[in-house]
Amino acid sequence: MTVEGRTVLLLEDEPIIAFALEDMLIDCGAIPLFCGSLEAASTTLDHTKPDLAILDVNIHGEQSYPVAQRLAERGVPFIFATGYGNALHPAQFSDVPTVSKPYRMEEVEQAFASLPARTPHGAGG
Amino acid sequence: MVEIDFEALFARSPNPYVVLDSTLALVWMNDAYLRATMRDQAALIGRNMFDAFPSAPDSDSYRLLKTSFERVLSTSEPDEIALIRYDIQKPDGGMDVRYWSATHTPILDDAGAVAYILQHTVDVTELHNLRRMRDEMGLVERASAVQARNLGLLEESSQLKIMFEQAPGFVAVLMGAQHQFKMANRAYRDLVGRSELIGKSVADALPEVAEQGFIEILDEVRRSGKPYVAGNEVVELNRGGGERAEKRFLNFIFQPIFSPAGQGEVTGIFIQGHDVTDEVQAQERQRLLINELNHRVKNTLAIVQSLASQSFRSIPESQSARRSFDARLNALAAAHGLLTANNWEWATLVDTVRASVEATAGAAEERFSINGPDFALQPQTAVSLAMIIHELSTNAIKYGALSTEGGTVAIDWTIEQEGDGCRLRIQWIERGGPPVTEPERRGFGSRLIERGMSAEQDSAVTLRFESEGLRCSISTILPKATA
Repeated sequence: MTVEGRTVLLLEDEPIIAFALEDMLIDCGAIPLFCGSLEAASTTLDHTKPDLAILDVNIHGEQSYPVAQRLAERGVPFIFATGYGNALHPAQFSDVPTVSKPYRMEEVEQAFASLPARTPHGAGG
Repeated sequence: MVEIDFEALFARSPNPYVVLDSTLALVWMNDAYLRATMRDQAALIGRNMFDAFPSAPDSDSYRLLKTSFERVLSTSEPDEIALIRYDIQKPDGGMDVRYWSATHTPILDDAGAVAYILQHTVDVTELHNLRRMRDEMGLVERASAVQARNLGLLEESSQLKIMFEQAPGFVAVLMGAQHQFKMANRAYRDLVGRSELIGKSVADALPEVAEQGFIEILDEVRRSGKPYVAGNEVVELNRGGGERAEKRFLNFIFQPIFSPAGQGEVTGIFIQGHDVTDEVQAQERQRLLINELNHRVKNTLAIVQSLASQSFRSIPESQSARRSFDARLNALAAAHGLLTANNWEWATLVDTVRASVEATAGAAEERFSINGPDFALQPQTAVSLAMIIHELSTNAIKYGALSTEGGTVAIDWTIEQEGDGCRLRIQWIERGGPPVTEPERRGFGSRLIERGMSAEQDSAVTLRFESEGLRCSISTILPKATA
């Protein structure tokens, strides 16, 4: 699936990094929804259902897996982003594509493209 | 019939002969006898044997000789003394220790009574001494050998005991089906935090160890006769004697002890190992630290990327420069990622080349052929090489073989021993692209390619812009990586 025209939830605790990712997404025709914390992401998900999501694994010393769980339950395809070289995700997320920082848009697009169509609304790209 | 003069015959015999009458008085002897006894005939004729050659009446010598004579006199049968010590007084008055073998043959009168006794005696002193020497030597040898062996064993076993006791690794010996402690050294006692172990079973002495399934493992070693080897195995021990178990990482072996008869029967288990908890924890700390550092470095790279992106976003002419910048940052990050995976000690040559190509060329990666032996590169070399491969790949995509359909890039290298290090020769060969010409101006990319390895000793990079495509030769000495 491509990101063009999609609403993409962007969970990233480093604003400067988020800016670049936002720009990249906008350049690709996506609509980014920036969340700087787990709480913000949680609140956003209370009101909105994004088409896609990019989750930084480490958010202010915590991990974003609870958000990932909510997304999975709601059938929103997502990818992880991390600065760690050898991210080991919990078993239920072991097949989630992971991109490493610094981001390249091609990498992000490839990761989204590799997502299985998980849901009826999965907008199977 | 020839008349034989028996007296002359006996007289000249080299064997000593003496004849006694029934009162044991010496009546005749030959020269050999005189020589053997160091006596004159005059001093002996007519004298009683025990007067001529006195010996203490309570001695073995006296009794043996006296008994033999008496037996001959009473039985009229010959008698032999296999060995008798009978000391002889020397002319100087001193006593000479002598050993004899004697045969007493009765000479009967007409009435059948013993008239004379012929004593044939052989001085076996030398023989006896030799034999004794031989026997004694053998005995002494055996005795000293046994003694030395005992002493050696004693020393060895006490030395071994001391060594075991002081050994830095833990050592224990379990005997019997209940795995009772026969021995446990200081390191073992320190490890388990208990000193009263001897005679107790593992289950009684170390209940928490039993709970962790080690009795079953010990049983299996006894049953199978096969050792159990554990590396970095977690064992929880109540070292303080309290309720709280402490987690230790141990390297150890349970080695079956077989019965000496070699029946294959396991009589006990030898435990030997060492506590690697500190090493494991240090490694884990190091791993976390390096992982965290890498995370921060990558985050910082992402921030730098974002800053550049934000700073030049409003300048439309900067778009291509920004893409180059992003790509370079990504190539650098890819090399860092490889090094992080190996604790920043090394990255393999193959991985470094592949990761750089992958980070730069993306899907065009399949147009590369990459061939060469692997090698552990030092961090700086890996980063330099990753950046060079990145620039070459970028150029190939923009202007070279990868700018057209069907163009290919071959990266081949060889490694040869040279001095203390290895000579790496890389050939980058582009084919199927448009004709290339040498650029008029050396940009950052070219400079990076040509001088990127200049930190390495004795290295050279040559670029040849040939009509069928770019050729780049890189030659450098690779120092051995620390790992």
